[in-house]
Order: sequence, then C-alpha cells, then structure tokens
Amino acid sequence: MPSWREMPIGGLGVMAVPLAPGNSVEYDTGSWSSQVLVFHEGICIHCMQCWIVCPDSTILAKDGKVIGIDHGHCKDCGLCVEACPTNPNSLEFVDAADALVGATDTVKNIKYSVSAQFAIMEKPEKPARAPKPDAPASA
Amino acid sequence: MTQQTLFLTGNEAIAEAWRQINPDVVAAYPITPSTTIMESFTQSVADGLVDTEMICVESEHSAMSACVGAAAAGGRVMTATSANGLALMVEVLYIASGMRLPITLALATRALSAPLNIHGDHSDAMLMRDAGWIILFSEGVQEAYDNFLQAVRIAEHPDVRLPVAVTLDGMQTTHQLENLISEDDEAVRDFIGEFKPYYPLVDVDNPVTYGACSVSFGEDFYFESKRQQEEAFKQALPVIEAIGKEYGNRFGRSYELYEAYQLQGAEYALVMMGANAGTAKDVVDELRAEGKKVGLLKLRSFRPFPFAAVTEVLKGLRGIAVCDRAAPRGSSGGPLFQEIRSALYGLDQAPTIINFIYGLGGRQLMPEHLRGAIEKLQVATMTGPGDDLVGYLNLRN
Repeated sequence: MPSWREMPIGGLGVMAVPLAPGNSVEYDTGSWSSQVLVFHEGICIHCMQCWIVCPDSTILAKDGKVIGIDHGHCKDCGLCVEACPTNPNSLEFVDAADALVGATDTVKNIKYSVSAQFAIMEKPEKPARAPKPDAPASA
Repeated sequence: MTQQTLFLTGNEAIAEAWRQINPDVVAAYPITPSTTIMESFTQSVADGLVDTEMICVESEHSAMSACVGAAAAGGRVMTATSANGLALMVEVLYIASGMRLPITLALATRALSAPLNIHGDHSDAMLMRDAGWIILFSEGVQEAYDNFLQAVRIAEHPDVRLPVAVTLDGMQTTHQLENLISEDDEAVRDFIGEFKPYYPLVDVDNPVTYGACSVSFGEDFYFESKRQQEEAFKQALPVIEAIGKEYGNRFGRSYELYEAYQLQGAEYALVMMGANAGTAKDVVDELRAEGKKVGLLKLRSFRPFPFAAVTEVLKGLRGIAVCDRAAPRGSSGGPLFQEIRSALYGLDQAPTIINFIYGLGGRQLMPEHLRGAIEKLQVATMTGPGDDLVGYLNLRN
C-alpha cells in the first residue's frame, strides 16, 4: 500500500492506487470472512442456481459450468448453499481457521486467496494499470 | 453589471455573491438566521439570473448529503445554515471533508439550544471546528461577501481541496444593513475562474470510487487519508494569504489570515473574531486617544489556525484578553483562548493571558464591556491572572 504522500487524496478509488475504480474487481471485499466456501466438483450438476443467486458474482463459470469460487469477493451470505439442489450440497462452508492450516481435505479445491491473511493460497495475477496523469506516482 | 454600491444585509450580500458565482447546485433547508440567504438566492433562481439547480430538501442532513453527491459528481456546490441545522449536518460535514470536496457553506452563526435562542453567538461554528473544514470569520457585510468569493477559490485550489465555511454573526451581520461594494459580475467570474473538478463521478470514461470502505487488514488507508487532510490545512495557510492578496490587487480590499489593528507598539491586546471586532476597533481607537497602548488582533482564519503568525504578532505584549463567543464546555477557557494560549507556549516572556466569554445568545457587547475587560487585563498583568482565567462580559451577576 502506498504512503499518505503517494495516495490519491481523500482515499479515492482511482486507477493504480489504492482501489480499483467504480467496482471492486481489484479489491477483496470478502477478506474479512470467517468462513471459506468450498466447491465439490464431483457432486455439482451445473444447474447454475448458485450462479444466479450470488449477489457478488463469486461463482466462477465457463461454458455453462461452475468452475470455482472467487474467494476474494465471497462474503459468506450462504444464498448459494441454500439454492443448491444436490444432496449433499455441492457448496460447503469450512471454518477459515481450518482452511488456513489445511485441516480439511476440501481446502485443496480452493483456487483463489481469501485475502492476504490466507497466504497459503495463491492469488491470480492482476494486470498492471497506468496511473492517471494527475495521480501521484505509485511507489 | 459594473461595480456598484448596494445597501444590503449580510445574508443578501451572500446571495449576491452566489448570484455572481452562479453555482451548479445549491441544496438547503431554511433555518434562522440563515433563511434570508436562500430567500434572496431562490429569487435569483426564479428570475432566471443563474443556471443553478436549486434543491429544496427535507432537512439539513439531506442538504449537506445532496451537496456531497453533487460535488462528487463534479459540480460547484454551496449551501447555508445555522446552529441546530448545522448540528444536524455534522455527520455529513466529516464526509464532505474526508472526501475532499470543495463545498462552500455560509454559516449564519447562532446559539445552540437549549434554552431555545435564535440569536447570534459562535457556538455552532465551534461545533464544526474539528470537522475538517476551513473556517473564515467575517466582521461585517462587505467581509462576508469578500470572504465568500475567496472561499470558492480556496476550496477549489489544487493544494487545498477542502470544504470552506464562511461565518457571519447571526442577527448582527446577517440582518443589519450596510453598504456593500458589489464587484462587476464579469470581474467576479473571472476571479473565481472556471470550476475544474478533480475526478468527477459523471466522467464515465475515468471511473472513480468515492468514500470506499477502508477497514480490512492490509488495505486500510483511513489513517493515511486523515494525514493528507492535515497536510491540506498546512498548505491552505499560504493559499489563503495569496488569494487574499490577489483579491486586494483586483478589487482593492486585501485580506490576510488575521487583521492586526493598532498592535504596533501596543502593550495590551484584545483577540476577537467576527462582528464584535468592529466594536473592539472603536474601543481601541478611544483608548489610543487617551494615550493607552491597546490594540486588537482580529482573527479571520480560525481553521487552519495560523499558529506561527499569531505567535509572531502577539509576542512582546504585556497582556492579552481573548474574547470567546461560544458556549462553555468544561474546558480551560473558550476555544479561541485555548488556541491563542497554545500559540504562546514556549515563549521566554509570554504575555499574561486571560479569557472573557461574551455575547452568548445575542447578549449585547457594548464598548464599556470591552473597556472593563482591558481594565481587568491591566490589573491581571500586575497581580497575576489568579486561579480563574475566565471572566464574563455583560453577564447578570
């Protein structure tokens, strides 16, 4: 994170630092979660009910199939688990502390980090963006 | 319209300044004694003299919220209020300054309830003293008008970008008629210049997020943005001075962070803000005519507080009487007194300093009360200020 001298004034979310503009693509809004949502691919029937109800677009889908969870934006609301028709559910919450120490087998499925707190998980590369002309240069 | 001399109240003078500024948005809710600002300005809106989007809201909280939204969208925005209306705005005052929005506010100062009182004092201005706003005090109608035109420039200056409040004493400056030199419309518009918003929300090609949450570990930038605000206040001091000078070069009335009145060679001084500084000037003139070495420091910029300048101008005096027009709060004297006393800390031979509270709820301050204050100050410099530094002027004892 930049120093107070380098930040855009007023903590504005602008290009480059510190927040992505107009949306939270580059900002982990679910970083405070106490639970981690786990996806069981073998059980899922790809009905996409979870994808429809998720308010934060955290169900990642490709070619009509669920492929994973964006843990950086999942806020544990549980709507997807409630909507899931399979038995047992294809989506399951595990305790974040258990996930951190790898206490459950399901942790292997987690593709994205929940936040910087969960360093064991890798984070997707973020594309570099040019700062705006009048924004202070990033350190 | 060329320069003309008008006979206006302080509130009408503010409305005249607004007409000339032609703001993009004004959102306000009426409250005495600020009401006639809106009354007069909405007439200009109705007459088609301005292009302003006038938003009549349901409360002062909504008024300031609408100002925040309009300013973030990229507009030049202003409002007016008083006392309990300002109190209702307080939550959003911090949001305006935290988002660094150059909103300007005309504050017709008034006592805060209870007991209910609609007359002037500075208690409401002191309510917002820690809200991250620049606060300029005006002595009279002309100063209120001049201050407001400069406030727009100060707020929008790239080194500042802080909201600015211009105060005028309720019922005194707001409702009393004085001569006002109203400058040429074009000259005023040329002085304030075109508004160039910084990251406007309506610029869809360059999206921006205002006021986003800053609480999570590793992404918390709240502390840093507060440090930036403090820096803006520091940078505002030379900006206020430079704009005051530029205003003087253009219109013939220069402004500084403070006005030193007869302080040259003075032994004793009054320190005051707002309308009653006018009374103090008369008292100083009378005392000078009697051979007494008395002066006045009238503070114009209360936030940012010009510590270095105040120390420089007050050092070497024998005694200082700071006159506060704000409600008691269980502190060691009034808010102005605390700042002045703090500015003098560390001097080798600091002047004796005492505090007087005056004018609460519109209580009159007559010349004899200030003469009494000076007499008490002279005694205090000889005998020491005693245990109680705070006295009261024109209080029924």
